Amino acid sequence: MRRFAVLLLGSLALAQGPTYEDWTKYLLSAPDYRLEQVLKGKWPYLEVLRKDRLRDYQGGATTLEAQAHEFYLPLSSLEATREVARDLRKAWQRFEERYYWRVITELNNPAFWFAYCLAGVKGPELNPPLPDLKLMVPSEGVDTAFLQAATRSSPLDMGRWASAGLHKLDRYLPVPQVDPREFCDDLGMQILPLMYIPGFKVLVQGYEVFRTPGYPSRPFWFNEAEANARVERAMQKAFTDYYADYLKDVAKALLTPRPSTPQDLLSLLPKDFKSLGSPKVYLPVPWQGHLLGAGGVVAPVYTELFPTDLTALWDQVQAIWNTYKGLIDRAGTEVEKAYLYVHFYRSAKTLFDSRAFLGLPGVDALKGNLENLVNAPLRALTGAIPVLKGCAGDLDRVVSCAATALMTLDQAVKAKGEVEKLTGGKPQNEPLKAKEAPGLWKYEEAKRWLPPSSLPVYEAFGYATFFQGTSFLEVTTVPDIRNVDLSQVNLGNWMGWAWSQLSRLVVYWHTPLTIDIRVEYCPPCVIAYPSLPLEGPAQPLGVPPYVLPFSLERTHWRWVSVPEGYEVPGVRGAPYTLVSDLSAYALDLRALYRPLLGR
Amino acid sequence: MRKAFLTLLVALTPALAQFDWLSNLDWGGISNNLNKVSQVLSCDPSSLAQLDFSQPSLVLRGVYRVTKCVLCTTLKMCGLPDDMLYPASWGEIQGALSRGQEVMVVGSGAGVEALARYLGLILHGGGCQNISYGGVPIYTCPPGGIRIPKAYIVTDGKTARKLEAELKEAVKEGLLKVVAVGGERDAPELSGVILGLPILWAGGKGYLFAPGYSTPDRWLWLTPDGPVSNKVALVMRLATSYVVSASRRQEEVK
Repeated sequence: MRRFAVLLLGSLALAQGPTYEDWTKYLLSAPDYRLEQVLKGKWPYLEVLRKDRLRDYQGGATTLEAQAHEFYLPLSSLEATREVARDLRKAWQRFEERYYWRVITELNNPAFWFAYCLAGVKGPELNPPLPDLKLMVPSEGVDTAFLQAATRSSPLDMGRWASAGLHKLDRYLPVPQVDPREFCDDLGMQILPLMYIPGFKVLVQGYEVFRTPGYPSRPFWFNEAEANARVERAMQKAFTDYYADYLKDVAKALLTPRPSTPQDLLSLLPKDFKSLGSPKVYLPVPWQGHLLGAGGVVAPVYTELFPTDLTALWDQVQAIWNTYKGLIDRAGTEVEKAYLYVHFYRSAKTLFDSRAFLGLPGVDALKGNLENLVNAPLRALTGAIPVLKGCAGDLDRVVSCAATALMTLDQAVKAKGEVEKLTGGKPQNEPLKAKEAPGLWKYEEAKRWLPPSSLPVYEAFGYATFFQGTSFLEVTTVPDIRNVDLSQVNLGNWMGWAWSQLSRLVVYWHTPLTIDIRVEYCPPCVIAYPSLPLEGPAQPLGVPPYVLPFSLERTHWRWVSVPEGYEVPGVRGAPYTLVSDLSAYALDLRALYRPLLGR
Repeated sequence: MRKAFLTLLVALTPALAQFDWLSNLDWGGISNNLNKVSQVLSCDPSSLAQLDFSQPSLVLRGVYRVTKCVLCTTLKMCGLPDDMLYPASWGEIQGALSRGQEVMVVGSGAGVEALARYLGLILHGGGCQNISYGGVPIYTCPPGGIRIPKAYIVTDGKTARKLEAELKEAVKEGLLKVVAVGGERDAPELSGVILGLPILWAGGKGYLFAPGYSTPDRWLWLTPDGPVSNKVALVMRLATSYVVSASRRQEEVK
């Protein structure tokens, strides 16, 4: 009985459907991707809405807040946002290197001071590669009804923050990869106080007679108080000065448009279709700014303005199809599978019919491919579902007939009419269209899994991909102790992890001695001389805290796709506003973008 | 010329010493490595394959133990402490909470919720109450009372909203500040980024709330010891100031 009740409750919960009216607030709406506008010197942009303010405005509110309900966001190129991500990594790497080498140089003063600060021993420059694009589907932005449906059978890959695990060096080398001046500032040679009395062993005629406790890894005596004081001083320095520099580097990388003047930006815009390409531009929009407790910095991205390579375009359309099909197979009913065909066909057709492709050789072949993809499976479904039975004729007519029929079905579902009769006994509890969500909500939600693309693809399929940067407070160590995947530790990933950890241990290098006593014929006399031992000339001695702690904010980034008319995840407040702590970087971006967007 | 050469030699010695240390590893050879392999095997690296991943603190401890042993046998670096984190008693935590300093909790998950509820209760005079974590009653009534001027909780958006609603009174009085990380709505994915185990910063010391470190009735808290603790304190003090400005920013955004 109880099990039955649980089942009933479960099915009720599932039947509830989406609840967009309750939770959506920051909506992507009305993009302007018109390429002919681009050719006239206007930058492509999209518009986002604050739903609550819009509602107030429509209700007659005249406050400044209510009036500021729509915002225009210029598009950036994906390549440029990857470069920004690289700069964010580089800023972190710079801090990580400065932090460690300051501590280790100050602790091992004067030896390391001679090596790094005086002689300037230095490894190769930091040069992180362009971080890969990794799409993330934040569950915070997906309606629970869709998530529940899509994860009912098996867990779904939602991706991760593109930056997860990237706050580290590419190579952990035993030499600094930043200029020594970066961590030698205000650091002088320091010979006193005495740091240690070396550990030693005594050999008589080659036979060992004595060794100090812990030889060779421990010195005879170690000035622990001074070592602690040095480490603490260096950490203080790193956190007050170097960390502040990290925050500055990050703010600069995230908030500075590239290029930074309207003239340079406009000069990148092409004058004809053939040379549209993908101008490398980063036009960030702060959404309160990236700092902890603020919000984020966003930039919608395109891969290229116009897809000139039609084969690649077809591959892309097919990839979109595969993603779609995979998701609707999980989350959709039989009827919803039918509308997947209908709407996918319509979107792709719109794409190939768009004016930009007019007369381009090869477009007709793509249209043929599309028909082959959709025709047979759609007709099979129209045969099987009663409400679609009347749909016949060429594919365009079948599609438009099916679309109308599906709306009839949707009304029946909402009015709790005779749904079974229309679907041929197939269950359809959730409505196809949801309140305050344009289009067919499941079909739209699936777009969050679509990759960044060109403007015509965005326009036809109705979505856009955003780059987002924001800071988290993290309690960890440097290098990040969590960079080994704790859910599966094996010898392979442990080795890499152990190397990064042990090459960045806080150690004091000391030199043990061997005192060799021999009777020599010189005439007969006893000679005792110290020498470097066979165990190695220098030995590391761990000094607390052994590994460097870190518990401050770090900036992460990701790419997310947002369907038109749906929630932009991971933001709060309003675009083009910056918290006061970032006011030093407060370029008036709106003023900079206005001539580009023409509004 | 000779002087310059000498300076260079002196200058390079420490770096060379490091290389020497590294070169002892014999990266390419086989025969010499066999010896090393047997040394590494004595550290029981296979224990890495038998870790209980439902208990993250045990995993951390296991990984540390093997790493420490390998460091000592192969690189002769043996000065590391037995453990990086030591168990702390509940009495010690209560002592830390009664020291009259600001308190901060960072993390996400059920542990943070339990801790926050506890703080909410003692901040807003909820009286003596036991809260259970995983079915084990871990919280007792503080014997000498607790004096916390202000508590900060840094967590993901979802937990933050839940806690703000639950601990309305303490938040309203300004005793408790909940700082949400990420966007306005829930962001459970953050748990992959924020350390899963919550950190409690109280009385000038950091405590890792580690359910499953051992049997819950024995201990649930880990803390660094001695000089390590000072360094952690240095970072955490700074973290508190950043969290204070983050909570101010949050007000600004509102």
